[in-house]
This record gives sequence, C-alpha cells and structure tokens, in this order.
Amino acid sequence: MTTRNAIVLVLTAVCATAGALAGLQVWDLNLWRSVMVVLVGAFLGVVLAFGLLTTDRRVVRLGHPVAEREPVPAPSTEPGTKPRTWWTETPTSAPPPRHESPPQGHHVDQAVVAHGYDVDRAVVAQCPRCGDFRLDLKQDGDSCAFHCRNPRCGHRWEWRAGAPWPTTVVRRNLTG
Amino acid sequence: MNHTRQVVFYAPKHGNTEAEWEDGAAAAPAAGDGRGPRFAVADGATQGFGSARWAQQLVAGFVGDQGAAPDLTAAALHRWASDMQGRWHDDPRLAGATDLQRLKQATVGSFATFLGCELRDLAGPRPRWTAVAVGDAVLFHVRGHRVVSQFPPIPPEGFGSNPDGLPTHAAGLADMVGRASFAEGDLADGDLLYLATDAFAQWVAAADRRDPRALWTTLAALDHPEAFRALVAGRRAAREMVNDDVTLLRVRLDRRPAEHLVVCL
Amino acid sequence: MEKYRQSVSRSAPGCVVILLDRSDSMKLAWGRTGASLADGAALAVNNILLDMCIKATTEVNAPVRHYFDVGIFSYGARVTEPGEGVESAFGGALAGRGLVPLPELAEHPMAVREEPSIDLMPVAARMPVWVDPLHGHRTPMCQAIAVAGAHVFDWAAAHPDSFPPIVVNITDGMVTDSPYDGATLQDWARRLTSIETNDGATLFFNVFLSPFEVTEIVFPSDPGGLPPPGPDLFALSSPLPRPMADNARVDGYDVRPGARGLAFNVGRSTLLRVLQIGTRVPDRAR
Repeated sequence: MTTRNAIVLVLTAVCATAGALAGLQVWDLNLWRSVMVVLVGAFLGVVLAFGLLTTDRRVVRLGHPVAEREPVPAPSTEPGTKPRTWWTETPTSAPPPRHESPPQGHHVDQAVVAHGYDVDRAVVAQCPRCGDFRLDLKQDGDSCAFHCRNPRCGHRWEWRAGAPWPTTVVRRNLTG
Repeated sequence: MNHTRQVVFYAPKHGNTEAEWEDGAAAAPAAGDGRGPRFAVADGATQGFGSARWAQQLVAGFVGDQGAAPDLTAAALHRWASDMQGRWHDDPRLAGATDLQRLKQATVGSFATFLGCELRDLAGPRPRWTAVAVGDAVLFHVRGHRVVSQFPPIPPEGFGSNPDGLPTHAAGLADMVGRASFAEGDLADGDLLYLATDAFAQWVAAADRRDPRALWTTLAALDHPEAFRALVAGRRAAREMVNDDVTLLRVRLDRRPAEHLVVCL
Repeated sequence: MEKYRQSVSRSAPGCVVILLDRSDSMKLAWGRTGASLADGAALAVNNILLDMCIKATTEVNAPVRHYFDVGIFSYGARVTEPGEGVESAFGGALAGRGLVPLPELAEHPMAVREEPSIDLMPVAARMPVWVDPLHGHRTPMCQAIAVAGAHVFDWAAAHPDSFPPIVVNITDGMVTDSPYDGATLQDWARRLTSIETNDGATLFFNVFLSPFEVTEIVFPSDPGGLPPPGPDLFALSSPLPRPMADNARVDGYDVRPGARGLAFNVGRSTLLRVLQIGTRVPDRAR
C-alpha cells in the first residue's frame, strides 16, 4: 500500500466516524447503539474508499513483488553402509513436473487483460536507476514525483507529462 | 514524429534470482548535441566473470550514461569498447575479490553480445533507426503487426551457443569489432522497435512465423512486468523458449505525446 | 523431445560423480610424468573440481553458484579403514560425504597446496585439494557403481528437471568383483544408466589410464581396434550427447556419430580435457 492510499484510508475512517458522531446528535440512541453506529459508519467509509481507490485507472496496476526463488536443497546423502536395492525402487519423491499445459491452438499466451485504455498512448513508468517497476507516485497536475521502492535503490526523480523519460539503465545487481 | 516511449521488461533464467540476471538494457532520450534517442541491450556470457557488470557497462556507455556515447562507426566503437574494458577492469568493487574471483577475472573475464540503436532525424524528412550488432541480440522493426525488418536477420534455427560478443580483454576486441554489423531502416509514425537478447529473440522469430498478428498484438499490449513474466513462464513451460535470461526493450514512435501514465503500485 | 538440453541453475543443478580407481596397480609410474597413476588421477580430479568452482564463480561479492552436486567415490584401497572397499574420497571437512553442493565444496578443500600444473590450467602457485592419491588392493568397480548408484538414484528423484547425472569412471585396470551381488559389471552399468531425469538417462563415461605411452583414443565411435579392455569399456560407456560432442569438436577432437564417452590410454592433460568436456553441461537449454 502506498503512503498516499494509507492516508486516504485513515482520513476516510476518521471522517466516517465524525459523521456518525454528528448524526448521533440528531438521533438519541443508547450507548451500545451509539457505538455500533460509529463503528459501522467508519467501516462503510473505509469500504467505500477501497472501492474508489481500486477503480482509479489513471494510476493503475497493483504490482506483485517478484518472489525470489528459494534454492532446492540438495538431499543430504551419506554413503550408506548397507547396500540398498535402489535399482528396484520406483522414484517416489519426485514432485510432479512443473509444466503448464499450453493453451490449445494458441502459440502466444493470451495473458493480455482488457486494459480499458490504449496502451499505445501510454508511458509505462520504471525506475531510471535500476529498472524496477515498484514505484510511489505523487502527482501535481502534469508534474510527477517518483520514488523507487526497490529496497536496494530508493531512487527519487521528477518527470513532467510530455517530457521524455529520463535515461534508464536496468541494474538488478545493486548492493544498496 | 517527435515522441518515443520505451519500456524494458526483463526476467532472470528460471531457477536464478533477480540479482543473477546477466543481460543489460538501457535507454536514453535525445541529447542536446543532436544525438537522437538511444537504446541498447546486451547479453553477458553465462560462464564468464562479472558478466552482469560487463553487459551493464556496455549498454550504459552506449546510450551516453557514462560519458560521450560512441558514433556508430567501427573505429569509434573500437575506441569506446576499449574504454569500457578499462572501466570494467578497474571497477572499485573488485577490491574485495577472493582468489577464485581474481583468477577468473584475469584468465576468463567475460564477453557479451550487443545491440545498440539510435533514432535519427525524427523531426525531419527522413526519420530512421540506425544500429550496430555483435552476436545474436536482435532488433525487430514492426509496423501494423508485421515485421518490416529484423536485424541481424537470424532465423529461429540460427541462434547458436557460440555467438560473437564484445570481450572484456583487449585480445580479440579488434576482431570482434570487425565482425560487428551495421544497418538502418526508415521509420513511420506508429512504428514499434523491439530489442531483445537471444532467448526471447529466438522465440519471437519462431512465433512470427506461426502467427504474427497474435505475437505483435501481445507484445504491443504488455504494460506490466507480471504480464511479461507470465508470457515468458508459459513459453518456457511449453519448451518454446530457452531457459535463459530474457530482455525485451520496446520503443514506440508517435507524433503525439502520451495520454496515460502507467505506474505499477 | 530432444534430451540433454537442460542447463544448470540453482533450482536445477547438475550432478557429477567420479569413480576413482585406487587399486594397487595405480602405483605404477604414469608415462614420463615422474608420478604414479594415482598421483596423476588425483591431480586431474582436483583440477576438474577447481575448474567447476571457477566456472561457477561469476562475480565479486557473490558466492560460488550451486551449479552441481558433486561426489567422488574411490574403490580399492581405503583411507578410513583397512582392506578393500568403496568409500567417499573426500578428505578434510567433507570426509565421508556423498554428494556435496558446489558452493560447499568450494568452501572446504581438504588443503591448499603447491601442486604441479597440468598444461591447460594457469600456473597457480597454490591450489585447493579435495582428494589425495592412494593405491592398494584390487578393483571392486561393481561395488563402486552400487554405492554411487544409490546416491545418484536419490539425487535424480529429487531433481527431475535437471540435466541427467554424469558418472565418470577413472580406472587403469580390469574389474575384479564381477559378478557382485549377483550382477555383472554390465548389469551394474545398466542399472546406473536406467536412472533418469526428465532430460534423459544417466551418462556413464569411462577413462582408461595406461602407465605406458601409447596412442590415445578419445571418444571412439567403434570398438574395433581397441585393445582390451577397450571393447568392454566401449560397451559400458554412454554415447556422447550432442552438446558434449559439439564441445569436443570445438576442442579439436574428431567426434563421429555414435561416439561414446570413452577415453582410452590417455595422458594427464588429455584426462583433464576429457573431464572438462564430460562435465560441461549446456550453457543454455537448447
């Protein structure tokens, strides 16, 4: 979650709570009902804020961090002293082959989701210092301030709509 | 046609970590001195030493991130590559090297395939791309879901395991620069250029033979690294794409500025 | 689907097992090297292990990559107890270990010593050493395959997507324990090569050392003309898969269709070159 989104959610909860409290001035309810009104109001406000945030298309795509793969540990084998009839065994510890069956009749994955906008007219933002796509954005009209969330990079830069993207070099082996 | 927009997608070989990706990719906008936008990809040798650093050095240097970008002539490239070798050899990070690492740096070093491209005269009467290639990194020039030209013109079955490449050692550099090829092509509004290292390039070349419309539609629509990686994972699983580091740099030419900004949160 | 295409990576490492003859005849001098067959074989094994560590060294500030799990099993004389038998040939911190991941191997040589260089290696004043020479007793090659086979079997079950295991047998003589446990050497070799991954069957290569300076025969495609025990070893040896055959040609060997992973009467530098070819898995899966 970005800083911006977190602030919006907190403010929404606070405002919903305030609204509920204000409403209590109009209707006189007992203590427990009053508490319920405030909690439900806050909850509904937060739910509404989530809905608004996820349907925002100008700044889109919740990214998933790319998971690093854990190495498969080599089996710790020691020379056995008793002979094993391994040639008669069926291998049992093999995991199923990790192949996804390719879609029938298609040679290219149709992994493209309907975007709702013209990708041809879009700039896809990535960090100029490292090439990562996990970015925080603060927008002010046509002016954008970016922060790279790659923990080994943290680069900050600004960009204005219409300007060329800054010189970009993909660096995945940064040491911080 | 004043606007170019690019994005670089990349993924390490399956089984390796992000930091073990050994390709290089870089892009730079037009410079004040009249130089046009530049793009470059490179593929560092798997069995080399410091291959990621070398590939990165080459692409960053070519686009002008490390001093003056070289002209696209053999002589200028030779001087420039020599300078890049010096920087690679004198990298301050080598101060902490182990004996094994020093031995490998001195005796083996690395080499990298390389593809660099500059766009010229974008606002003038003859906008065009001009490129240099050493080895099997490939440029695909695409217009309306069809390949206008591929440089170098390697067929899918022609991608081998001993490609030419720019070495980190001085011996052999002149020979490799001598084997570099140069090309250019005329550009039109809406054209797309794709620069890819060999694993992805080989797959593209094969897929273009089977169903070019589906291929180029898919590649043009990529707007998120996860979509790119899902594509790569699927093709690797189907054994259509070699399991190796992959890199795809997509450039779009447009006379209009962008309407959208896509940010992956 | 074409086999032997997989390349090595952290999640799909390769497996290299060397079976090292430590029979008494290995004490014989090796041509004009001034050292025994046992000395020369141990030197070549240490060199190929160093070679594998170097290949997996990719960058400063980065560990040796886990490209392989490695095992060395000796047959004949033993270090750990008297008498003839089969044991892990690793010494030092790795003593008694079966298959060892390459990064761990790189970290734990038995010693670092001044060693003579074998032609192809740069003259390193001091070299890590994992295996010492030894000789004595006879040649229980079947038992060696039986012991190593159990490790290879388990490894293949745990790494179904990897390049198939590579087992290289370095010997100077005739097997003396066939049949072993009711099976002949041919049976044992078949059992070993029946171990498979999705990328193909285990490769069983053989290197025959001779104390005499005779004509080397490397990667023959025909057993005809091979002196004993050449034809028997030829029948036991796996055909060279295409990537290795290509590498061998690049190195100048005349590799014909049907060439087997057999090197006969080889000298010390050829032994190392053969080991290098036999343990070089494709860089990229093709």
